[in-house]
Amino acid sequence: MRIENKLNYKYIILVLISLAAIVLARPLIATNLEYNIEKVEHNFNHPWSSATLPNGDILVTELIGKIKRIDIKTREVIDINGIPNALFRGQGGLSDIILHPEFEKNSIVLISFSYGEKNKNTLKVISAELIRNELMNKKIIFEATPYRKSSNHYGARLVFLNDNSLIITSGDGFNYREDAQNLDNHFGKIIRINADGSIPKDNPYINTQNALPEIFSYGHRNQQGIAYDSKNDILYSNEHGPRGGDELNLITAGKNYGWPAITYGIDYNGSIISPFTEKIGMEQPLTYWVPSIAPSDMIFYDGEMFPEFNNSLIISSLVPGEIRKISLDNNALEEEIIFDEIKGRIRSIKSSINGALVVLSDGPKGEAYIINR
Amino acid sequence: MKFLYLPIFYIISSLLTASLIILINLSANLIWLTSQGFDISIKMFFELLLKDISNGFLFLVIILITFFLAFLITSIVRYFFPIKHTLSYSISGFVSVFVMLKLTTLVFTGAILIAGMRSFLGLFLFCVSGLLGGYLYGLLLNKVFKNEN
Repeated sequence: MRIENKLNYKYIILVLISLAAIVLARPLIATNLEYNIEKVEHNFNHPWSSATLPNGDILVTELIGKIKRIDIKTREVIDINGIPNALFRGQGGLSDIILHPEFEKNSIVLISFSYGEKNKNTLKVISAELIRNELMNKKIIFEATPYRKSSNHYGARLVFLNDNSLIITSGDGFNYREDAQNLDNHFGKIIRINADGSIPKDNPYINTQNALPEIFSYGHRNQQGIAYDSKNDILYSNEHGPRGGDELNLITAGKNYGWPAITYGIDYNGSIISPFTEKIGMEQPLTYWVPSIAPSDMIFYDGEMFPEFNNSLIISSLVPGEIRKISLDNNALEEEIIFDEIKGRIRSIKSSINGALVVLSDGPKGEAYIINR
Repeated sequence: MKFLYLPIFYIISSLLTASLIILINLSANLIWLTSQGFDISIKMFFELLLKDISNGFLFLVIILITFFLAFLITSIVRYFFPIKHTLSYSISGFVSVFVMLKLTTLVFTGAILIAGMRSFLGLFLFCVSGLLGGYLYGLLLNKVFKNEN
């Protein structure tokens, strides 16, 4: 009996230590925030991204090839017409949408999508004028080359920089990971072009032989989050690692981010992709996640509604499905989970014009949430 | 009683094929890394190989399933067409690994989950691993069922 009691006592301590370890291992969950979460009464079919119009209406892209407009006053959901044909397969489809910085003057939106056939497809970006609820005057401004046989890892996020140049993330196409280290293709690259499709004269590889002049940085995997701190002119990107090794990177023109030569992850089948995690000439991430959180979108928050989020990155993730705030103060990264009432795989997070947040959950019955105070 | 050997032979041949696939996959990764200026010593190679084999449970499960179906079908075919054990199971191993690799690519919308098979040579070597696994299975069967082809 004595032995059993001693064992029980040890077990209780062991369980308590394990519980403490689990709690400490997780980022702290924020509890002192005040906010309202409103769910839009509409099911979206694989929602992927959103953009807020100057009048507050919200455009939501659906991977299946549709764009919906949420009327902010009535909450009515309306279809946008004139959508380009997207290849909805694997991870591909109608992806990101952003407004031109001078949207109020020119009504231009930029849209990324996968295009082509199952064995020959690519990432494209178009500009189009949004007139009432129709896309008009569509123009292809970027087409990733070469075409791919897979339907995975398109990247496809868009963001504008202060000089009105457009940043596009272009994933490694899954089967073409080594090409992320070569400058003669668009696999695993961050691209910088002007909104009319022309190439900025100060791009890092514009005068490099055998390098594509649109390339801004390389050595990426599947970058599904891109965020810009416009006050300080700093570009951030997050990318899916393989099994483990998701990364948050500070993006600088001309730099090599290492994939797949250096990585903190292993292959999905358990095999080693590279035993190396660093090399001279290759950038280290600001932080990385093992195991993976599958980061799906990211904003740099500078709105007025949530001043406590200022100077922070807000990341949505698919696994297990969370929204994380990453504070960048004092050169130290602090992570905490926010809005943990929203369950499931989170596909996107965006900031609207008044600083409210628009969150999209993933899947054929995806939902849109508006978070405000 | 002789039939009790079948599961042992089946597991041994599956282990051989899974190990060869792991070896080829790792070699493909390391050859590319060497081309990028990384130093890979012989010691490091064997350490990584051991690590990959210890993490290779998924490979083994896939090969076990593949060979189970392939060897079952082959045994039925052999009932009607009594071809040599070694020949029939070698072909069975080669074809089944090829079909399995192609099917996984189809299921994952074109994504090739085993990086080493992205090149024609890699795919061929994986199929040869299947052939060798099948050959071993046939050879072991020959030892036990000497007078039955």
